[in-house]
Amino acid sequence: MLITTAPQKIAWEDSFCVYDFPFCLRSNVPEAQSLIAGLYRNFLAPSFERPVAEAVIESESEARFSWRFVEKAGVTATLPSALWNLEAALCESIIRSQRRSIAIHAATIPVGNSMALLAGRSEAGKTTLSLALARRGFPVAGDDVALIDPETLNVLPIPRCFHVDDPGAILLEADGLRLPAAWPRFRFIVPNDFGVATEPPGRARCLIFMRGPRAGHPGIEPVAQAEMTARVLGETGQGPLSDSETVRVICGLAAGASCFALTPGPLGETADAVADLLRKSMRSVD
Amino acid sequence: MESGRGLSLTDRFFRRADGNPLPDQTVLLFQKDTSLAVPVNQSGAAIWEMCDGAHTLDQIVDKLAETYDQQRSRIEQDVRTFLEELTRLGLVERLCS
Repeated sequence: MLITTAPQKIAWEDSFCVYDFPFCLRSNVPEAQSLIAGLYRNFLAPSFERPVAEAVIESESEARFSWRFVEKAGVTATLPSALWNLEAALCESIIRSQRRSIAIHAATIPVGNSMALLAGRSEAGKTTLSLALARRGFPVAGDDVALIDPETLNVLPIPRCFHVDDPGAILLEADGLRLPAAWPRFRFIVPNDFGVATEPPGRARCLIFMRGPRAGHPGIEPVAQAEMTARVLGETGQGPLSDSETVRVICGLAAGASCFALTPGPLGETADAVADLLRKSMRSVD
Repeated sequence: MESGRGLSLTDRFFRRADGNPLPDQTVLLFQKDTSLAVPVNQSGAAIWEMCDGAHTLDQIVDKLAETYDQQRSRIEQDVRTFLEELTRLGLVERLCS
């Protein structure tokens, strides 16, 4: 049994504004309220005077949870499923709300006063590597999607819950990561569980593209900025800008960064190698 | 099979894509109609610049031979291969003479 609290009518409410996208959160499940609020803790906002989109998770019984956000809604048998669905709907809406910014499929690691982006296809290992980097002292701002401001080229990471499966959790624990208490119960762990990035959004100074297949040992090699641009473009969603504008922005992103291709190896070795690279990158920026 | 044999030394080429130069001297070629993005290295970028409708393939090879310490025949083969690929991808248009 996941929830010991009986369904209640009391509603807790928090308000958030993620990159100009306002919403409030309401739930009759204190744990759900706390977990989602923890995800967006850095984006807490005063209560809104005007009506805003409402994200809701409600427990209707011990095995029936409903969630809804704007036009999306569903009913699940477990709280983790409801949390994941609501979080995915929130992320999608945040991305769709962007009138200018470009969304790219990349993890964001704040490094000093700049950012490192870890790009790669789904299943490339961005989440596991991000968490292994967190274990090595690098806060993770987001493991999946980052927005790029086309004017400033600043990276605006979207925090998401980490989707870690059991084999991934075993690997991470073997690497020394202590998973938060919410992991076994809710399968909902978020960047703020592993240290908060205090730096404001900054430009990316290091771009790393994860490419497969996994090797016996990790390999990191510099790549040309044009090649990195082409690879990042392949991980860029349909956005608000024209294709040519998007190319210009991603070229600008690569032009201001050191670009590397990473062939991952065993997790610990790979994370050590990337952590070394990030520390060097931090020193070169300083 | 060697590629580029279909091109003539007097052929000229017109760019049919945007070239986005980057600080490390590489260029990202982008074809708007097809959303095709092709990264090219420094020597590719130099060839791309000469796809202006004025330079013949022969002149492009001459220019590169001034820069690169390689046999002219080797350079010519590389240029032919590169331009044939760009033509195939629709990134340049070949003007036969």
